[in-house]
Amino acid sequence: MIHLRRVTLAAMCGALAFGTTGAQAEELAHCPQPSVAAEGHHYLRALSLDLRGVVPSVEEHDAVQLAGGVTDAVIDAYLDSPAFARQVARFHRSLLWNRVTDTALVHRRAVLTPTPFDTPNAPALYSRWRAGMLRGAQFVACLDEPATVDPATGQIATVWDADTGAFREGWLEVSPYWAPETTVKVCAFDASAVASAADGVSCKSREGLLRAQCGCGPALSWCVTSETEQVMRDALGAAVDTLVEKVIAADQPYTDLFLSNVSYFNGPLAHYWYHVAQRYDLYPAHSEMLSVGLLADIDYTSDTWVPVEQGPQHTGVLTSAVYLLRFTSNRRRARRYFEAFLGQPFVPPSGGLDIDAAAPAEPDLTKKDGCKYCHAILDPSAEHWGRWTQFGMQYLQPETHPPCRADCLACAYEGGCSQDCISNYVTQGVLSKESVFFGWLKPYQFNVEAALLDALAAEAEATKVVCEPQLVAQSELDHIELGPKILVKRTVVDGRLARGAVTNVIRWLVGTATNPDDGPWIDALAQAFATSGYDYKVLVRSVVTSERYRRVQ
Amino acid sequence: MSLAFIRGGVIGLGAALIMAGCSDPPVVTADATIDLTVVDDGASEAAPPPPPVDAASPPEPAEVRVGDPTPVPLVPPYEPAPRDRKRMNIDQLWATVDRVTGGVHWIDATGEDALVEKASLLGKPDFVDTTQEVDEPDLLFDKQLGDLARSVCVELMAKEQGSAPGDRVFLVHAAPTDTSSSAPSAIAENMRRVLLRFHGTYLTADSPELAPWLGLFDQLSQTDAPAPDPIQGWTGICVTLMSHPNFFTY
Repeated sequence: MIHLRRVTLAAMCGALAFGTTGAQAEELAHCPQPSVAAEGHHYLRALSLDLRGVVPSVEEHDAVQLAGGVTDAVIDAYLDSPAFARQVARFHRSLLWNRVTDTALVHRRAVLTPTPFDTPNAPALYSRWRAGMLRGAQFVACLDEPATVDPATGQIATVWDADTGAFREGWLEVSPYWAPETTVKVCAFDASAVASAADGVSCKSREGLLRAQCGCGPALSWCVTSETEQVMRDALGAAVDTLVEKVIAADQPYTDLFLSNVSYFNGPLAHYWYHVAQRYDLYPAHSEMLSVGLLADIDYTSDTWVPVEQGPQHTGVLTSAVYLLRFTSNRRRARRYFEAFLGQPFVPPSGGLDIDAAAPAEPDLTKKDGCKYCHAILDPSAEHWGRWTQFGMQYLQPETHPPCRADCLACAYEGGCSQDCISNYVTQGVLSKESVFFGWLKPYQFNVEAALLDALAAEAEATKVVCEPQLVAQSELDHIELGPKILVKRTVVDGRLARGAVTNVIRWLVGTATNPDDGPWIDALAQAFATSGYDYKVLVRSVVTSERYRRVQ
Repeated sequence: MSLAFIRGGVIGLGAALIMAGCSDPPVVTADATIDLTVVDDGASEAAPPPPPVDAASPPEPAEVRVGDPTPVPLVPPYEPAPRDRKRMNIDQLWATVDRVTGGVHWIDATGEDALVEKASLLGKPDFVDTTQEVDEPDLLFDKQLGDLARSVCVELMAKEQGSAPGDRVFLVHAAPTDTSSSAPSAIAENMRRVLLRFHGTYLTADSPELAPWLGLFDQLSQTDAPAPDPIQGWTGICVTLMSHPNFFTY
C-alpha cells in the first residue's frame, strides 16, 4: 500500500494540470525528498493539520519565521485549543464507531409519517401502525380536511368512508416540539394531547400506545418523525464525541473516558430520554442509571451539551447508549475494547486451531477445543457487560433481575417464557451442562462453583434445582455485578491501556504501523503517559516532537 | 527479504566467526610484503630472465600482526523510521480550502457542498458500512481534487475582483490588473505569499524556486488579445497550487 502511495504521488508530481507544460510541471513538481526532517514551516503545517485539522494561517507562518522555528509555546497553544479536543474526538470515532443509523429508537407505533394524500396540499402526519386501532382499517390516514372538534366535549367528528372501510377524521394544526415557531398538519386522533386513557394508563407509556384515546401528547412530544429519530440517533453518537472532547479539554485523565459516570445530553437526546424512550420497552431509562427528571428542562432545540451524572455502574464510553447499540452482544462489546484500546485482536494462530472432532460436546466455549483459544479470554471479559441487555441498552437492575429467577427457571421446563426471560435468562439448552443453569441470568452460565457443578447436574434432572446465588464465587459475582469498570481498572494496572493508547496515538499521528524495534520507544511513552496521570496532551506532545514524527519520507 | 531475516543473517555470521575463533578480525599491517612472482611465458624478449626458483629455500614469510580489537555492533543501532507523508483527510481538506480561500467552497449543481456530498466516496468512513478511513492519494481523489480546484479557484478569483484590497485573501500584494511587466515585484511578492498560504513553503525574494511559478503565471496570463489577463494567470496558479501534492499531503 505504501508502495502504491509513492507511485501515485510520483505520478501526480509529474502531471500537474491546467495548462502547465510538461517541462514546467516537472520544474514545479518539487515532490518530497525521501526522509527529510520537517522543519519550520512544513513542521508547523503538519502540526496544525494533525492537532487542529486545518493548515496554519499566514500570520502563524510569519510568527514562526520571526521565531526561527516552531516553539514549544506554539505546540502548547495547539494542544490547548478546542480544535485539538475535536481532533481527538474525531480519532476516537475510528476506535468507537459511535454511530447508528438504522436502529429503531422508538416503537413503530410512535413514528409519525406523512399521509399519502392524493391532493396537492401538504400531507398531514399520522401513525401508520396505530391506524387500525384509531380508524378501524390498517394504514388508513385521516381525510385531507380540517378536523371538526366539539368545543364542549372535545369529541373529534369522523366520517364513514366506504372505500377504505374506516371512520376518518380530519387534521389539526399543531406546533411541533422540533419547530415550535411553525405548525404542521397532524391527523386529529394522533394529535391528541390527553394525559391518560380512560382506564388510567398514562398515554406517555408503552401501554399508552395501545389506547385509542392516546395520541402524541403536547406538541407531539411523545412521537417522532423519521427525521427527528435520526437527529436523536446522531445525538447518541455526538454525546460520545462530546465526552471525549470534554475530557481532553479539561485535562482530565484519559482513563476518565472509561471510568467516568458522567454523560452529556443535548436537546434531542434529552427529549428522547425524557419523552420518548418510555414508550419503548426495549430501552427504558432506569431511574437508578439515569434520572430522566434532570433532563426535563432541556428543550429539544437546545444545542448545549449538559453533563448529567449516571449511576455508579456507568462506565464512560463503554456503556454509552451508542456503544451498546453499535456492539449488540456482550462478546462484541468486550472484543471492541480489546481490539481498539488494548491492541489485542482475537485471531487464530497462523497454523490454525486444533480441534478434536471426537471430543464430547462442550457447550462452554471457554473449554471447547478450538473455541477456547479466543473464548477463554473473551467470554469472561464479556460478562462484565452482563447487566446490560444484548441487542438493547437497558441496564438490568439487580432488584428486577437477580442472578437467578424462579419464573425463568419454571418456564424453561414448562414453556411460556416471557420475552424478558428469553432475552436475559438461560431458558434453553439440550445438554445437562446447559440445563443446570436454567433460570440463571445469562452471564452467570458456566460460572457456578466448579465443585458443585457435578452435584447440581446430577440433581437437575430429578429435582430441577432452584438457582442459588451463593453457589457463585464472590470474585465471579464482582466480575459481573461491578461491570466493565473492573476490566478497565485491570488494564490500567497491568499497563495495557497505557500501551494501547500510545500505539493508537502513534498510528494516528505517525501513520505507520509500529514494528518490534519500536518496543523500547513505546514502553518509554507508556511509562511517561502513566506517570503523567494519563495526560493525553503529554502523550501527543511526546509523539509530535519525536524524530519519528518529524522525519518525513 | 525481510529486515529481520537480514539481521538474522548478520547475527548468524557473527556467531559463526566467534565460534571459529575469529572473534577479533585480522588486521594486515602496512609493512606486510606480498610475493608477486611473474612467470615467463617467452612472449617478451626484453624482459630479463627470472631468477631460478629454489624450492628448498622458499621466500621469507611476510610478517603479519593481529591489531587491537575494535568492537563492532552486529545489529545496527535503532533509528526511528521516518513517517510516510500523509494525505489530508476530507475534513482537513474542507477546513483547509475554507481557510486558504477565505470561505469559498465547492458547490455542486444542486447547491450542495460537493466535498461534503462526496466525503464517503473520497474515503471518509460512516462507521456503519465503512469503518476504515481511506487516505490514499489515488486517481479518484486526484480527479475530484482537480474538479474542486477548478470550481473553487474560478469562484475565488471572481470574489477577489469584487473585494476591497483589504478584504482579499489571494491577491493581497498584487492588484487584479497587475502583470509581470507592470508590477514585477508585486507579482513576485504575491506569489511568495500564496505559496506560503497554500503549501506552507516559505521562499525568499531571491529564491530560485520562485522563477518557475512566475514563469507559469506569465504563460497562463497570455490570451489571444495583445494584453495579458492576470486574473486568468492567477486562476491557473490557484488551480496548480491546489492540485500540487504539497497542498494535499504533509
